[in-house]
Amino acid sequence: MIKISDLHASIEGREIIRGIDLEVRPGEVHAIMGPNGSGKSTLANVLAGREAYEVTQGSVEFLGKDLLELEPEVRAREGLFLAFQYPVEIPGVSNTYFLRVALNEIRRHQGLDELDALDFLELVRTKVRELHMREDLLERQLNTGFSGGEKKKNEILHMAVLEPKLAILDETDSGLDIDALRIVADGVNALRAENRSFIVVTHYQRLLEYIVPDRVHVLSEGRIVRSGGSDLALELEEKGYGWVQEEQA
Amino acid sequence: MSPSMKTDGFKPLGETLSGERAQLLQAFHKQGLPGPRSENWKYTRLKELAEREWRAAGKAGIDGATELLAQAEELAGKDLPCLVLLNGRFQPELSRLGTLPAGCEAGALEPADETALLAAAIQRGGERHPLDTLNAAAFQGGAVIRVQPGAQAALHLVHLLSESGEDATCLQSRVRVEVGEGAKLELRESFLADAPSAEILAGQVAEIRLARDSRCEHIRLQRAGSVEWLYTLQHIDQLSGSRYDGLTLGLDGQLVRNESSACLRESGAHCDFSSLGLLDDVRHMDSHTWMDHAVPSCTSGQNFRSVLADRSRSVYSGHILVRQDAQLTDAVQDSKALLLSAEARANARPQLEIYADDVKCTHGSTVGSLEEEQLFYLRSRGIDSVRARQLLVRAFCAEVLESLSDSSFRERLETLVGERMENIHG
Amino acid sequence: MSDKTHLSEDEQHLEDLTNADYKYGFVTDIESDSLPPGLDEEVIAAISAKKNEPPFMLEFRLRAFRKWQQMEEPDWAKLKIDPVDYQAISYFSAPKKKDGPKSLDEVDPELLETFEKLGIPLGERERLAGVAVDAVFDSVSVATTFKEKLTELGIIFCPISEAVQNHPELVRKYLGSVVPTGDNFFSALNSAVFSDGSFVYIPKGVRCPMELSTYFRINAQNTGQFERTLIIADEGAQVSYLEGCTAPMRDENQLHAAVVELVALDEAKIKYSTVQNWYPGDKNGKGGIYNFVTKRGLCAGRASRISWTQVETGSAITWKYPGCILKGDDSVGEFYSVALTNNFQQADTGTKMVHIGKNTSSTVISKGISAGQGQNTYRGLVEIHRGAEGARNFSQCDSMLMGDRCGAHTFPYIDVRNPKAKVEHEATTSKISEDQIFFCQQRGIDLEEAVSMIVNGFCKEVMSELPMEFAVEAQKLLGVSLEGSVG
Repeated sequence: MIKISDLHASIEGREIIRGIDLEVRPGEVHAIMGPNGSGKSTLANVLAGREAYEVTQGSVEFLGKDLLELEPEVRAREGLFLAFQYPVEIPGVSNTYFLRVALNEIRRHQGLDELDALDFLELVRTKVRELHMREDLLERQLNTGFSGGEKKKNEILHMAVLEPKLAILDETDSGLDIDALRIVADGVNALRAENRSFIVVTHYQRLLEYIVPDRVHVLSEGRIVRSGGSDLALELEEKGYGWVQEEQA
Repeated sequence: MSPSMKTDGFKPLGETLSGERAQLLQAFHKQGLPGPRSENWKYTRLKELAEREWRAAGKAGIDGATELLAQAEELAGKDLPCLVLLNGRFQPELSRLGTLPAGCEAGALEPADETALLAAAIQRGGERHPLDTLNAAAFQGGAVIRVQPGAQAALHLVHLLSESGEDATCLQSRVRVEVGEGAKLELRESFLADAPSAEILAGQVAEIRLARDSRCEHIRLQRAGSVEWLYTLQHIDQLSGSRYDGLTLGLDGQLVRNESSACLRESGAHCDFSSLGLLDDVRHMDSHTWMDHAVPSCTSGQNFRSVLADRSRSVYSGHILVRQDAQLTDAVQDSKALLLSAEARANARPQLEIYADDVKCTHGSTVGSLEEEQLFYLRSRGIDSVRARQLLVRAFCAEVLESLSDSSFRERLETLVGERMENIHG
Repeated sequence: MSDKTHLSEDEQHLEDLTNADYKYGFVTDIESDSLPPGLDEEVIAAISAKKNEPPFMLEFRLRAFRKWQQMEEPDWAKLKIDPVDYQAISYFSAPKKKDGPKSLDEVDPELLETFEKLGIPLGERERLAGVAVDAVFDSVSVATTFKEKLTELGIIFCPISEAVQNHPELVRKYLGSVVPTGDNFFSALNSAVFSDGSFVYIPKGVRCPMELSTYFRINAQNTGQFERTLIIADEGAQVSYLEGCTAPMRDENQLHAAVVELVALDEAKIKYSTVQNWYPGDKNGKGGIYNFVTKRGLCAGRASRISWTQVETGSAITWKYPGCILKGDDSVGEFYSVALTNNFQQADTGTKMVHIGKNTSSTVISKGISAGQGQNTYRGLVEIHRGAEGARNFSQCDSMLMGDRCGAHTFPYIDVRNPKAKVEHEATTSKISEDQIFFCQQRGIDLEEAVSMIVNGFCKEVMSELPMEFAVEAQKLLGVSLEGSVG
């Protein structure tokens, strides 16, 4: 699915990612954990193509293509999805309209027919029901005036509608209460499939109780300092990040 | 060029002027008084001003100066060192400057200041505000306040205004304030007049310079009694990290025009202008601001309120200019007028002129009367309607005073506003 | 030729000339029907005579001209403008036959591309591109059907020159009643020399069954640089009128000074929508139309309502303040505006809401978008007169800046003389954030589409006021007008 080799990235001349190697195969769920400032969110944003970050070294291969060569929208169309840590508000643009434009761009790129408004509405309504979300989410303006929890749920809805091949969840659990967390996790689990992979970026082990990862990687100062199975997350929870950092030192 | 009005009425002033001052008066005659078609004088007419014969104030003393001064100090704070100007002239015997802290000097404009000032005025020639030109030509005196770097000072500056003889009296004064790097000045300024009906044109021009990381809290208490015309022009010049908080309380004066301009010329400066006008009878208060964001990352606030009874009128004209380089500016402008009478009138011109894209600028302006809903709510809690109205008006005023750092001073002002409001019929 | 009998005299005239031109191959006949450049009372008398106007019209024109002579050009507060030589303009010239393209194949491909992007129906592209005649004849029958339907209801909808001939009593009563001849420099000039425009009268209680735009779009023609529109909605009548279109309109006349007057009697409703896309000049600010328009509605009757909606994307300079005089008690005025300036365009626009009657209310929603080196100014007046008890106004002016060489300015004027009135004004300034763009891109939407979407979202409250079919085109227009301004 995706193969990251010796990736280095910096922002405003400051190096944040200092050599990451990571491979995620189809159907796998990888969790990336780490203390604040370890580079987790940066990695997510670099993969999605945010311009502020400069890749200084290394390569990323996504479904056989050089991901770093692609514009952010092309990455999305190729099937890469980033659930934002802070989803952006766009006043005046309805959630449904936005999603329809997005989906049709992706479909067109993939050589599929565009969906008309009615077909799309049916699709998106079904998704909302499946995810146990409220339908008024659709009529409202994109993330405008949404609560923190609503924004995160809306990201899951976008993911469910756009059906990416690789979804990166950037601290999707932060600021969620237990009910919202469950809705988010159920949404992710429902999408788990043989040909779809996930990278779940999180600070806490909590989310991983619901989304059980195949692999857990601990990031510290821009490098993966430890990798393991899902029990690594529990161990971290118990011993804290100090443990890996000390070990590293 | 909008047509201006004749200034013949100011010719008598020239009798005593010579040299640069005479030259400046000539320049003023050439400029003329702004006419009603001038955009900035749309709502404030100077026609009557143009029709009088103006003479400079004599050197006579003033009856009851001590009482007036006591009254001013009661409000501004008795412990503060105070500098008294009578018709612009420094009054050492009335002033109390012994308690000024080290690093702060205050006194009359020195001849050197005067020379520099006149030279600068001449150089700028006809470019300037006509009322500034008039002031430069005719100022009778003024004050200089300097706070050395790192020092802290508080001072009460008192302007006593008095007519002389039977002619209309033109009083002009000038104030220069310099706050050094990292220094702090708390300046309270009172304007008071003696006569019940004073045919006075009082003009004051102030220049305030704030060095890096300095601070100035400036409160102006305009209790100019029945002075017919009072105008103030103040310019604030700010360097990086400096902060200016200005509050003008307009309690008296028949026709008052306050113009405040600020130039934020280095990053990280903050300037705040606020004003509260309590107006009754046929009084007229006109506030103009000009906030110039010339560089990135400065902030500014404006909060202008007026309460209008009888046939009074308030004008707010605020301008925020965000120049092309001034990214990350955060500028707010808010004006509110409360009309308590069917014949009162309020004008607002909250203006934004923006040439940078990454800025936050907002302005809000409301004109209206008390909210019936709120009145009803209070009455339903057993408060009679007169009391309820007073309460709401006081609350409206209190929001401007809120920012004052000295709580006992703020309470004195709130009490004064409360008393004043009881006399104003809603 | 019987199906052409409904053509107005002007149209007939145009046709004759066109034919003549074809026949004789040169323009001598046209020249004889034009006046030399310049303006004086004789020229005005000649215009009036050529149009065979009744004496009251000549008086109207002369009165306006005399006032105009006394007036000075407005002082261009925030506008940079090259002076206009009013004596160099020819104030009466029969429409010239342009050497237009013979078919769409000959039309500038860039223009065709724009049509495509805007989704202009195929049938209209030819007319908009200036392809000669045939296309217009195709639509004549459609127009006739509309016209018959309107006539049945007693609705008068015709060129104003025709109304002067056929309904002089209405014209005499209402022309200049909302915008007095001496209102401003350009309205005075227009009153003196206007060539033609539209006239609408909706009788008592009649609700016009169609957007007058529909007809207008099919039958639109070159009404010249001094256009005059007068719309009267009698008691309880309702009408929605749309002016302009989204396609880029090219015109050789640099100065356009139109006047639009609306009159709403008791309980009448007029909705006037404009999409203005005159030639804005090139990327370096060369050329482009000066669009100096005076538009005003009079809510003369009780509970009447006038609503202005405008989307202004064209012209080098736009200067217009559609206003409402709320004279009738309980009357309502609305102003919804989107003004977009790109490259070197300048727009100075806003509204005047004059509250005279009791419990009158007005709403002002203005969205200004500045890109490139565009300058966008909102200038508005809200005036509450002494007797306007219970009057309410709410104004909101939002600006969006794209790039650091443009400007957005807000100059509201508020004048309140009644304590039982309430006026509220709010304004904000924003930009499109990089986060918003990145979010859209991450969902597969490219930069230009993202900008268009965000800008349209910013303008939503205004766009939703446009008649449905135009809203879609106008949305695309915003996107197209901003092309190349980001990135």
